[in-house]
Amino acid sequence: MRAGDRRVRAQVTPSPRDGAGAQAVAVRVAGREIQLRLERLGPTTWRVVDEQGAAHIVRSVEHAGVRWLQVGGETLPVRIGDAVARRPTARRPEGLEVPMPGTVTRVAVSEGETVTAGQPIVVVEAMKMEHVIRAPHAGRVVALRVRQGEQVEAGAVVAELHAAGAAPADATEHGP
Amino acid sequence: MKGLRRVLVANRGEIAVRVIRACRELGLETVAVASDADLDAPHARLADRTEHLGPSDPRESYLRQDRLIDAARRSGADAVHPGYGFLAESAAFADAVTAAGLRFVGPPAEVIARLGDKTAARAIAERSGVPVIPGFTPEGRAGGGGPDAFAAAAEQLGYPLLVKAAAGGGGRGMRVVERADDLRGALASAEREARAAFGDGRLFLERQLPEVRHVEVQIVADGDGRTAALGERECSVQRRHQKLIEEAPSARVDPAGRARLAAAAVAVANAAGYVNAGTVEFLMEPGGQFYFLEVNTRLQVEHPVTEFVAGVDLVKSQLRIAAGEPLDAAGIPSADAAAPRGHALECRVCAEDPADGFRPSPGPILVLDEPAGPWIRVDSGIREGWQVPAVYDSLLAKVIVWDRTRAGAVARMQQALGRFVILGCGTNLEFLRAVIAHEAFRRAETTTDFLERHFTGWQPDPSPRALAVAAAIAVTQPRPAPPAGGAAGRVDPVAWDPWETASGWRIGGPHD
Repeated sequence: MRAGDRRVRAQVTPSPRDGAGAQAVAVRVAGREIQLRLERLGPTTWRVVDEQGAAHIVRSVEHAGVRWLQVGGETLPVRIGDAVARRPTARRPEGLEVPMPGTVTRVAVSEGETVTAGQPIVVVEAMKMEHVIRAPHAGRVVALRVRQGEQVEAGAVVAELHAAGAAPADATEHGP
Repeated sequence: MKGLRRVLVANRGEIAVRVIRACRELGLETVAVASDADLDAPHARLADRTEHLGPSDPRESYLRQDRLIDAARRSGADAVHPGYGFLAESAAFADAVTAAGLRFVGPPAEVIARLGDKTAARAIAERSGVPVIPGFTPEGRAGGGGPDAFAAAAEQLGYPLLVKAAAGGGGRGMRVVERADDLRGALASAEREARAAFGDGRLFLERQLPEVRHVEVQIVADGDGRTAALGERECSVQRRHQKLIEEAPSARVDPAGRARLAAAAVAVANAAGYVNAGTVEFLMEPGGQFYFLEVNTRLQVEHPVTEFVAGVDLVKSQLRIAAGEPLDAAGIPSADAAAPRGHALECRVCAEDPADGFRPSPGPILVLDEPAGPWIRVDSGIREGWQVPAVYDSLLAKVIVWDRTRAGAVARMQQALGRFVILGCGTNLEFLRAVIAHEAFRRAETTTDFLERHFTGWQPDPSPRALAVAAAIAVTQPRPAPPAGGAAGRVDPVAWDPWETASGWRIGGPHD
């Protein structure tokens, strides 16, 4: 799973639920084995008892592929199984996504244009702040999916980029 | 209150909620305004009635003077409170409100115009005997003295320096220039930005002072020429020239310094003919020497820290002064008596990602649980089940705490932030917790470069326990099937469903 810029490997071994509906779970994460007992109290609320017997109320909800948690004062969004779902391939053009919803204020390239790594492709404004979507590597813009003034949602693909040469179009992490 | 019965709040979010509450306590009826995106927002739900302004784009709603004044007329309001941001510092709007026979809850239009021009405000401060940051303002209203005049002045001032827009605000039209070679480029781009943002491309120069604190004085003036200073706030913890954490009093201002700051602030306010609540901003060097920066002719985002230590409700004072009442009737303590009581801190909780250049992260509020308790105040403009619009400011809520000591306030803030639950929308809560916990913050070693110095490249660092809970909940809970087909450029989601397997599956395991 991914938490912020970190990739974390976790091994989860759940036991069957007990009579009270609670479930013991062993989690191996960050070199530690952590025993937890989970009891769901409501749609977004869990009681989690740790090895020391201390109970914590955990709030959690999943939305758009992200599991949000608030546990012991910490707020964290994690993407589960991200490495499996996000695996760009070398042959297919890479879709450049907007990380946030907003308005396209500028389209800085045209279709077919050759771009260098870091070159601005599209500028999106949200909450009075501009966000520049840049080419992650050199290549050719094979498709532009947005126009100036258009509203876009988070995760929308604004342009497709074909990597220069035969190099894999993979600026993010690999799968297996 | 004399002549005041119904107030239109020309704003949105937490500040609209804040103003509506103050009106209620004074027995005033309230009218909210809302764009398409905000028709069901907390401020619109709270008011006695809500006027629809238009599309979500602020230029078609909250920035449309004509629509706001129509809404005020339609709803029978007799006063308009502008909040902060949007049209709060627009002299034209204050003028239009007054021309429509309504009261503007703020200074007169001509005072806003006078102080909104940063070069004119500098001149007022200089004439009042208040030190200003060494700088250069070209002669003539039309921005006389081309790049050559600026370059010559810059040599005199020395680098690094700041290029600023005369009509500026919020960091727009502002550039830091480290070397002479970069000056002309900075002038050109700052002028472009200022012209686009304010319709006014005039620029001036200021020396960039190293190691300074941002210190500002709350002033309140009545219509009879009485002006009171309610002590200082320190707002040095900033990102992108925007404040993030504020406190009152400043840990580095002693009573003598406080008196000097107050005298300077009152002198500037009086010279400008100030009426109602406002803020005089200064930069303060380590030795306590301070320089005038600018005047904000409105209520500040961070006004609650002053309210805590001065025991004043600033919004109620604003309304009473707008109704023509004098300072004492408006609840303002008599001049010079205002020694701060205890210590207050404010954290701005924003929909932004501090690990990625503070980029906005609007989203749905799926779970919301706000902290509460003695001396914890949350000024919030969100509610559970609401979608934070992408078109407005990223401020979601402010957490304000008070205690007898700064250390006590820091501990209370740490607890309050840890109990704030906002899920579904990315926030800076973890970042705020990290800043509050930082040794340098605890020692009050806060200068305006604090975040750059200590938090560049910051990434959240979740504890193993939190990660374990995340993994455990994710794996043991039934989960909706992944949507068929992935987004373009992605491989389709995995064909097998790991959430149906009972045990031993490693999240991300075999794929690392």
